[in-house]
Amino acid sequence: MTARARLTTTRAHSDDGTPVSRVARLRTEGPLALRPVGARGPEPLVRADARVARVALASGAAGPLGGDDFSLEVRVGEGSTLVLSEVSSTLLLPGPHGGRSRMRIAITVESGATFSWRPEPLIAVRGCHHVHEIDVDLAPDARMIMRDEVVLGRYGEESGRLSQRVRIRRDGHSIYQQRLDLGPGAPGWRSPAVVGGYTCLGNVLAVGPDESVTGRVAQLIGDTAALLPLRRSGLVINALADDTVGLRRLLEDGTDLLGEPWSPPRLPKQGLNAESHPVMTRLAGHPDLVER
Amino acid sequence: MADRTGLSAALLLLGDGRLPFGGYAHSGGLEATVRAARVTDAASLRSFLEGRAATAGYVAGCFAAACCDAALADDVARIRLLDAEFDTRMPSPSNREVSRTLGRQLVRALSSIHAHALLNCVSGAVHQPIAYGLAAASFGLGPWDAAALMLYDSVSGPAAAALKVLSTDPFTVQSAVAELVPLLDELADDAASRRAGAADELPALGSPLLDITAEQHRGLEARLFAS
Repeated sequence: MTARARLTTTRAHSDDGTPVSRVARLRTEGPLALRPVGARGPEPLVRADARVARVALASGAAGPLGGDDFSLEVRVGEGSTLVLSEVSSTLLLPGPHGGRSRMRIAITVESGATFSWRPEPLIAVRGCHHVHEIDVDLAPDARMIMRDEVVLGRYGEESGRLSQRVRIRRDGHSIYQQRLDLGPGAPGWRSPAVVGGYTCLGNVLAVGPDESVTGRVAQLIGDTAALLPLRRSGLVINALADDTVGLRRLLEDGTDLLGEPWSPPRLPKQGLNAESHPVMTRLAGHPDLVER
Repeated sequence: MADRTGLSAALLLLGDGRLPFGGYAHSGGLEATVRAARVTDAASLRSFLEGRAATAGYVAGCFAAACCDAALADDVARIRLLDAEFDTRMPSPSNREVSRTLGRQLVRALSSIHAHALLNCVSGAVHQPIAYGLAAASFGLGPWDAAALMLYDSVSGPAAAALKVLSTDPFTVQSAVAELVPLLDELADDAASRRAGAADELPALGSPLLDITAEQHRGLEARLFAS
């Protein structure tokens, strides 16, 4: 199956003259369904601002399956802001007749525009062979934060084959290009130099003219993650983990290092945390509760 | 295969670990990987070397081949472009710095051993694969040779370091390298075939754990190697 989806945002003005971002073009095809949505959870860069454009990508069918060829084209127009999210994670599946599946995503972020992209994980199901290509072109004063998570097989399952390339250009120059070729048949992918025994890996890329993403030094985040400043501009936070919760936590911890507005104010963590929860803190100091 | 220029003593000279350009001071991420207990024995060492060759080594091999090809055609602008493009393939600032240090040292060593105008056709420190490309061209070798040298270096450095950071013997280590010879040759064939490709279309295979361990290495206490 072939499907092409397109999305364009522009900056307009509301009745009282304040600038608002509008979805100017939204083309949905086949299983690639784009839908305007409201604010949902903590968002980097936009702080629950109601005047930005929010769109979610929902897969209308299983897949992509082997043989599918999908493409998504996004243009964040001059001065506009787009928050692109995803309704659920993507299960990459083998096709009925084998063959590769392919997803190409091309994103242009124009002058003064902001793009915040938080897709859900790509899950390389056993037997899949998926090629995932992301190209981003940024204007010199555009800002972008994007998250990217990969899960190598469903729980307890061998990974399928996934070849993923991310390429970022800013002001016409390449600033970042990485390809991961993982799964059966990819030479050395389980090497302790590549992904070792980890099942989840991902990154957050942040690019913009702000001081908080330029002029940084490398920082370690635990034993399996690091914030890495790129040579020309921007930074990447790389992480590996044994599960999706651990991966997400490492990426959030890394993003927190950037401070606001790159790091969204987080909701209080679920569950009782003895260090921060007032009741637990009080109880922790009670002599009767030692070792209980 | 058709790209191979035939065996030359120059290839042996450039691939000789005794060539004094300071490669012996680097473990290519192996020391920090051993400290993290991800490499513990001969099997994990072999896997480390294979992954390094197939990702970072392969990408560097492609850039070495492309640089050699550009140097043989006196295309200095392309060499500069390749050097800048190589930066985009290396997220780790420590790895970028090490690559430039090794590139500068290789150019400097060769300039006193075998002075040639090509070695200094680009001002400033160049990345290691660019230096290998220039070195190969300065001896009249071709893109396949440049790629093979770079690929061999990507495993021979960590292999030599394994003797110091892992309790193992030289036979076990060289056996791991020997097993990788067919892969190294195949990757060099592939790299040479891409020598004329657009710089931003050259391979970009990443090695996420090497990027993280490169930064961890800086914080290691009592480390034996510079990287």
